[in-house]
Amino acid sequence: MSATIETIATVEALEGKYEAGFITDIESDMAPKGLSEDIIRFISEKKGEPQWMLDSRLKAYRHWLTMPEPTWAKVDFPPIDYQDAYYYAAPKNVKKLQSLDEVDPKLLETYKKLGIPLREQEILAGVAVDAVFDSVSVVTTFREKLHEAGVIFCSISEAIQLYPDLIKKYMGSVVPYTDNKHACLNAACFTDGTFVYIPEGVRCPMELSTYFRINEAKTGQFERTVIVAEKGSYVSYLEGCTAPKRDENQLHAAVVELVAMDDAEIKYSTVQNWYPGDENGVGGIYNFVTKRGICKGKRSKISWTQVETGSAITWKYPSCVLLGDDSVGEFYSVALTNNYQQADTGTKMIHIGKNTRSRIISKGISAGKSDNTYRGLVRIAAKAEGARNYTQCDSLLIGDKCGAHTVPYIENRNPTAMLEHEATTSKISDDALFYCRQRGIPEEEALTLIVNGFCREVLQHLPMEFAVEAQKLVAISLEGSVG
Amino acid sequence: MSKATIKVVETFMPPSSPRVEALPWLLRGGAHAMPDGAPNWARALRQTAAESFAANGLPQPGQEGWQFTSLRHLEPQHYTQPDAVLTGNVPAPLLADSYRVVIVDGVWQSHLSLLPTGLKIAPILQATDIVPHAEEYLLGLGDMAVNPFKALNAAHLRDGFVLALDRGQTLDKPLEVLLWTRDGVAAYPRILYWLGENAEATVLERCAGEGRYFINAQTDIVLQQSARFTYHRLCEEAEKASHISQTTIHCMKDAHFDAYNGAFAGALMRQGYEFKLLEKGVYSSLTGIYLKDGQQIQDFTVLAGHYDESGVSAQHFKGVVDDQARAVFQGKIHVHRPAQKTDGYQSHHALLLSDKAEANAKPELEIYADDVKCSHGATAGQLDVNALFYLRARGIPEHEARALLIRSFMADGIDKIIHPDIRNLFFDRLDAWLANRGKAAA
Repeated sequence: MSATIETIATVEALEGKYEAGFITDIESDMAPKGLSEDIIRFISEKKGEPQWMLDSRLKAYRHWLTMPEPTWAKVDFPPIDYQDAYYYAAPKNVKKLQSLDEVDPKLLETYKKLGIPLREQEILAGVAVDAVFDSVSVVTTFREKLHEAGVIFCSISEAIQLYPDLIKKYMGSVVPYTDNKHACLNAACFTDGTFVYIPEGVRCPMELSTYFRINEAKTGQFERTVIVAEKGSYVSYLEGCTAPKRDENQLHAAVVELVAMDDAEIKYSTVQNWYPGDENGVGGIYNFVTKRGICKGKRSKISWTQVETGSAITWKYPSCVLLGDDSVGEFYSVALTNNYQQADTGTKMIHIGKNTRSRIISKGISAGKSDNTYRGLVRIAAKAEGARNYTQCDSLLIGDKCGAHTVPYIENRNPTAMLEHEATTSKISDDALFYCRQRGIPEEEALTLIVNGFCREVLQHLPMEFAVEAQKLVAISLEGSVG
Repeated sequence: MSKATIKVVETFMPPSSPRVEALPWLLRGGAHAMPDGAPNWARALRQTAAESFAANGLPQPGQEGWQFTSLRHLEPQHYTQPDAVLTGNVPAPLLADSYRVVIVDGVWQSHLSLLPTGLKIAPILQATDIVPHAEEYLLGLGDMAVNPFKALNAAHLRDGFVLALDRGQTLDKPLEVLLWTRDGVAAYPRILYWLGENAEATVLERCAGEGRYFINAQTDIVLQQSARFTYHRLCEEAEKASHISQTTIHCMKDAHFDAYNGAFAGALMRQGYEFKLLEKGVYSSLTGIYLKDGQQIQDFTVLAGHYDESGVSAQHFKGVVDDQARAVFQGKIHVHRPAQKTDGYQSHHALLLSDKAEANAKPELEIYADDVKCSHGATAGQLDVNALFYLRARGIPEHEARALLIRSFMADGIDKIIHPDIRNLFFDRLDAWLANRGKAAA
């Protein structure tokens, strides 16, 4: 069965309902509503953190109070009441588990609905999953196999306990707490996340993947991910997100930090399909994420691939700081907005080292009454001899009530640098639609076909399983945008 | 310029900017205070503009839209607004066969004009006498808080001229407008070109002067249905001059507008263009050419606003940046919801000749209509090493080879100018610049 037909079958099966729109009822251990130094102490204590971690959280919190809300993005939302949210919620079941059988069956049910074949994964997919249910890691598989290779793949809370030196060295080294208000909030009250460390010369034996879930009503989720690839190592990391249906906006402010040493390569892929709000723009997730990677070593490479279809508001700029000579940064993105969704996303490529190269491919699709903005920066520092950048951002408009915007910043301070930037905006070609319709393909299917073709260049950079999921997502997200 | 002054300027100040107070010359002698018998609309405009400017001050360092352009060059100067009386000479016209208007220090010198009989032209304060509802365009400056220089110009509204062509009227020769500014002067000319239905005109505006001065010009161009206007601006300001100008073009149905802007010399140059394609079928184009060296700053900020169907806007920019000069291009195509079948294009190509030269570009698209074609392209880089090698291998000395390549790069833009005499003027400037560079290299 071809992917397209499968996609259509999926769409039909869903009958226009959000697939992941359900709430699992599991008792939670919650901190009171609101944010204060006491709440931060509570979080830190719950996690049994050392004093230095608490100090760093409090420092971030105090700085957060003084920081202004970023307002430059082209998104519109009422001011966030930070005191009206919970900052800590953990599933009751936190004792160490020996096997999957010990996991709360309700949790397993949740994963099943999401289509994560956790049991089968061990045998079939060869993917180790560090599944985050709300805020605490519950299940971690394949730990031993990774351990053999010397790879550290654990939750950030564990890492704080087990590898304090690595955490002290790398956490906050790429995204300091002073970076922006959302990242600062994360530094103050992150509850969990993932830590990955690939030692020198190791090629990670499998693709690492974490599925995030936001489950407890009104819980902001503040994930912290740190990935360090030592000299000559390689890792591919997948991040997928779904969230249950809910009426009130939820804040998500994650921070992802990547560090690549000499000859190391990190591939980071995201499929994000959090609840986007209903057809009238009620509800949905606020996705304010700071993602940044630093190519510290020579010939290192960081590649970001993202498919953004969910969230009421997306504010996300996965970036690369190309510090090492001959390092490479890549950014492939599909951002799809429908109904009243707003997306302001893009990347920053900061060229500092000599002969650094970067490539940006961004595809924006707006439908319904949504607004979709590409915002990017390419900066060539004075010493970045022979730097090279290629940028292509294409926008597709479906319907006459949406908006597509492109805001690239191009700053060049080195004459030997070569910069190219191209952007186009257009609608779906009537000819292409007519061609499909003439061959008996219904309008909505034809649309999906064309849009998937438009995104192909990006989707093909995703790992296989993700590419299929991403195609389905594109179809689901486009529902109701024609006719 | 003492170091201390620069330091003060670069610190961040709250919006109730003391920088304005630090620059008393900006508002001293502002026209709003002058009892010169100006019409009510002008008085009111001066008043609101002066208030807006006093409240917002100059753009802050890092403010969006101004983050690449340092206004440092303006700071330490004390410019004055002299009387309207002209002493001394102004340069001869560039075009042999043309009509002529002369503005000195922002004031129209009607006795130096050479115009066909029956042409409607008047001082800007009497604009309403020859153009019905002229004040609509003169007052419609948009949000002055966003661009404080609009406010500054309006606060000093005193002189300039309005030129009106009746329905079907055609200027048989190009009109050459000289904006001459003298040492130590702050000039605030205001110009309105109003072309009636099917009217046609070609204008060459030449901005020049001597010494260290500041010119802040506001130009409005109104094109009624099917009017055709070809607008050339040749900015060859003095080496130490600051030039900040805003040009707004209001286009009605099927109007046709072409602009060619050459920017040469001048310490600080910021040229803003705002296109308003208000009705169907408008064609508009803008070609920008610049050559910058030393520590010069060149800033082109262009907004193409498509408000109705089937409009075309095309912007092409080509420039060369040498030494420690800095080039800025901020272009935006804004397609409003009704503007279906819009065709918008922007391109910016910069050639960097030195290690310290800098080129910044921000080509922006904001699109709310689905049946449109909009695209932009931006490149920045150095001279093609292979091409250079090819020429050197054929015995052409390096500086000549470079000059040849730069010339061909720029010629691409200048060749778009249709009027042969004006095109040659632009080429003359390019050749002189290259010759100068060659001399310095030798």
